[in-house]
Amino acid sequence: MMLHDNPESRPETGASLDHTLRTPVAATPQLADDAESMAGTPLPDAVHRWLDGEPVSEELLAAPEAAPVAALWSALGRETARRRAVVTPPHVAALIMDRLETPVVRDD
Amino acid sequence: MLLDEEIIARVLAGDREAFEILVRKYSDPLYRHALGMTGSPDVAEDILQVSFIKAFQHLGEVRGRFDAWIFRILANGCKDWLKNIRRSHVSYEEDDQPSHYATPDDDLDRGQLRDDLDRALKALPATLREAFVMKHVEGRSYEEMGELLNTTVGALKMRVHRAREALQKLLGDRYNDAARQP
Repeated sequence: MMLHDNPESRPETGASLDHTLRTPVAATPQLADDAESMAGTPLPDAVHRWLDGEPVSEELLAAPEAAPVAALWSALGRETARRRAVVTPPHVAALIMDRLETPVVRDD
Repeated sequence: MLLDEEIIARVLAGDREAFEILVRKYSDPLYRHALGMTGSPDVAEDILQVSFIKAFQHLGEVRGRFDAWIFRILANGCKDWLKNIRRSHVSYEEDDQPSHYATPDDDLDRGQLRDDLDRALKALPATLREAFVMKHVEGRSYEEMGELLNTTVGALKMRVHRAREALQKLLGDRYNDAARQP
């Protein structure tokens, strides 16, 4: 089976997140502003490819080093899909139009 | 449906109300970007308003796609806000308010993941947060991101990969350990 980067259809990969700890991530460290100097935890290449929408076999994602990572990213995929459905509060368009003042002219 | 160029021509000819067509057409993706970058609905709303007002005032300067042009205005507004908030000593990353994406029917675990993702995103450098939000929250392709940010696909892939690995570091221990429990 091939997997694609559709968060709605991301499969569970065997590991469950139902038993997550129930305390907040405490004192998240502020990472450096310089993205170059920031260190992270490497992800298996199969997970990056899967998240980039490339076809990846289910076996690769179910491998012991990939399965827990893929489970986390499946859960994050569901959360980011929810965020993708957020819309602008309805009053905002009228506020913007009320604040327009300066007439514009084409500069060419 | 009118093309953006036609709407812009109408506005420049004095039909100010035509600008609302552009506001309604592009508000949602721009608002999502601002919300993803700032984590605050109030700030996102302010940045959205200011961006459209700037766009209106400089509408005669649009060259090429309006949506890409206003995206860059808004994206710069988000990055300026992030710079300012980090310069000030507001306890931004210590914010333990519930996620603004919360809904009443959320169960605890899902709500916890959402709050943790908010905190982790706030810890990312602006360029990585921007890349992650565009790829994973807005669902854009690397090619589309490249057009909007005027950057190569390769550079953007690297940023997204780095963002994922930073989030994995911030969230992985906690959630991966939990996932391994029987």
